[in-house]
Amino acid sequence: MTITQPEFDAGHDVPSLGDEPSRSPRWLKRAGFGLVNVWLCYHLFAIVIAPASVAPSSRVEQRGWEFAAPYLQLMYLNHGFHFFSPEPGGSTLVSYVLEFDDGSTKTGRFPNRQIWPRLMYHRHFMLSEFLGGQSPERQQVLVRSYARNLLRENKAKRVTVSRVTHYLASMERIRAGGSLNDPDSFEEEPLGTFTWDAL
Amino acid sequence: MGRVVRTAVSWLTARVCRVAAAWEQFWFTPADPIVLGVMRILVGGMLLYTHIVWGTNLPAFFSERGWMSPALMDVFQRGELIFSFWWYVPEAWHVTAHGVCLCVICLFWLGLWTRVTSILSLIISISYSYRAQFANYGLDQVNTILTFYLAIGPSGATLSIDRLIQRYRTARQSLSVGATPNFERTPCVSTGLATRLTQIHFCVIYFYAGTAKLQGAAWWSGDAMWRAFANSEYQSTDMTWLVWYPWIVNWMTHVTILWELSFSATIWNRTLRPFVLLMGVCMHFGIGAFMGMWTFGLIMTFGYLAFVPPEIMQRALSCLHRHKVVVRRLNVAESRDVRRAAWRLAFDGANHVRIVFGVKDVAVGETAELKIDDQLMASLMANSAEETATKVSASVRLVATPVNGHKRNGHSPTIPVNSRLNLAEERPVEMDRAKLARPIARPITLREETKVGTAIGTEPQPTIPVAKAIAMRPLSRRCVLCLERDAAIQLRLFRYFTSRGFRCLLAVEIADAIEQACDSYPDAILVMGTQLNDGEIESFHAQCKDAECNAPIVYVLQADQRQRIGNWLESDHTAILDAAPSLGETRRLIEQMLAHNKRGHPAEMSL
Repeated sequence: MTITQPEFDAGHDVPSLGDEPSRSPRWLKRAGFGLVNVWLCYHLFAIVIAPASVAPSSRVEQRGWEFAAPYLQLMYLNHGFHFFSPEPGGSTLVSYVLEFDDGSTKTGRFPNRQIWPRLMYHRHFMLSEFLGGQSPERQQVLVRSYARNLLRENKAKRVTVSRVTHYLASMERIRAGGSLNDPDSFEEEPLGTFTWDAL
Repeated sequence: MGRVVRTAVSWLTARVCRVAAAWEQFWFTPADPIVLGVMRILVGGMLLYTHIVWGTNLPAFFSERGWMSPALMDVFQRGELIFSFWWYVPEAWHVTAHGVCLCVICLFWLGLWTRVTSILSLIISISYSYRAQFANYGLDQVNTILTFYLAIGPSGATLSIDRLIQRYRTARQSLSVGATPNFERTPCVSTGLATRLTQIHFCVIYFYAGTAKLQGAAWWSGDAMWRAFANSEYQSTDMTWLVWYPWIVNWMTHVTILWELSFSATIWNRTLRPFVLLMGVCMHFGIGAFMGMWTFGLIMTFGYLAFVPPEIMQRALSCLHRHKVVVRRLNVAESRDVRRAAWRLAFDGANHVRIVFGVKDVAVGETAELKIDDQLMASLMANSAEETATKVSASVRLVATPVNGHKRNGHSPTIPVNSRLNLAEERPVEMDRAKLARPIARPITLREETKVGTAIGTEPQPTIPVAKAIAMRPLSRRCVLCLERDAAIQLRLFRYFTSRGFRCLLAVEIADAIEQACDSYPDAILVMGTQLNDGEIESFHAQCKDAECNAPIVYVLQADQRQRIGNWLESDHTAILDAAPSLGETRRLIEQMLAHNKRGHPAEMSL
């Protein structure tokens, strides 16, 4: 048995993307392989530029973000991954006073340890933390939305919402007998009173 | 001048080719999907849990009068290219939509219609995340990233219902024609791509998590970890005792940032990798235990599985199975039995069940030929004849002897065969998988050694001429051993044959090739003789003969080599090709020779 054709053709050994060897025409495979490589380069660029373009960032990085933003936003890959940075800080909580039709009132705060499971607690914590990082104008939009949900959930007539900043306790303070939750480590700032009609 | 330019162009071309080859090798090397299968189960489970928790208060997070009203989201998401199906679902249908989403994620988790459900799960995850954007954190980000990559790779190719159904169909098809099914998974390029993308994305995550921390003074002063523990909204365990040991806080801070900054470099070092991953697991479990973010800690560690080699994952999973081989006899004429056996094989992910086809009676004293896979052979080798016999209630004992006379420890192993064995009877044989040879089929002879009832450990029973000739076909893919000295051609051969459904062994030296031919029993041997001298080729040929290696051998020789030694190499089991044939024709020739060899094999003839 003799075979000639003295070459190892690269086209023969382009691996297929599926479990079974592909039967597609060679040009189609090559075109597909080329497209996969183009997408791969773009994807790598995008996942790097997403955290790189978080402020403070250079103009080049911001330009890069503009190029990759649609893809990153569509695929929900637009994350900075700046966990606990630049450094862990205090927390923002939301406290509220609800007034009911019968004249009674109820105070509350979120997040609170009664929220279960823990994942749901963190969801509420993220809501209050998000409020803390916004400009006053955007805070107002957020507070109105939060107030609407508090009124809906509690079937209340009126709600007064405040932002509570919980400052971190230093090591010295704890060594001196203080605790993480000393009353003076909380600072409350009223954000407004809302009724159904006003919302 | 022209010469310099040509040299420069040639040098540049070589460099570019080398980079392109390295790029292709890094991203597109086929890989076993076992890692993606395990990741799918873990990430799918987390995705399911996350969405079940969303369901505990759907109106608060997804209704128009919830925490995040449409007006609010419009302010923050205006101008962005985002999509969430929640904007198109009427509020009355929210519970139904959520239920459907849970079902889809559950199917993805179980691995049913995974190609579709993985993409749907990704869309669901993105939609939930964008609708409830202000309640998201790292968990949701990593969940989506991992689901994205699991949708790219064949995450349902193993450890899934898809795989179970595929195994059942394969088993039923093969058993109905009296053949042992081949369940081996083919390594696939998209698996490698998905795994690499996960690895790179995790490097990006840690690199930017580390560099962003460099902007904070507390990470330099060593107090950052205290600030994290002192946040009572996060804290789930009281860590205030640390104020008396500030040096612990300093160390934890410095180690954390150093680990994050170095992760993207040190993770590629094989020696350091286990320590880097262990450190990461400790850090994320610490976040879970002390800061209450177990979900985030776990999802990050699930991503680490992308750095675990498939063979280690396979070995780890094998430890979960009980190490036993169950031998079952099957009458292929009974379609009900075939269906039952097919289901048993489908569920037998660890390949512990061996189907034995009773096709021919053999009288006492006769010798029957059978083909048996090496796993069963090794299991018999690993147990002495007495040990094996006492573990089963055999009524007839057959001595198995490899056709080529290959023996271990100077004795032939014993295969106990019970004539009255049916599918309801299980015959466990304890085995040590570490001693298993590679699962390549090779012929052995069965010789009935004693009359019925003489098996050790059983009571004497009446004589019955029941010994069965058995045929067991290869459990694995066909295997080609390639002897080639050029690494580039080796790589091409390997990729070509593996992509065409072969298992490919590679050898550089003659001695190595002979050793592999004896130990691994390849179905065919391809000798690229153009880089070997005549003496080496003759030596290889002679050693193959001495080792009684019956696999067909294809020699690729230069024209002058062929003239000198061609006649000497010619035989029924060999073929000679002129130098550098195409891969396709080489493969077809090997397949022809294998088919020819198969037709002529006495075991197959007996069927």
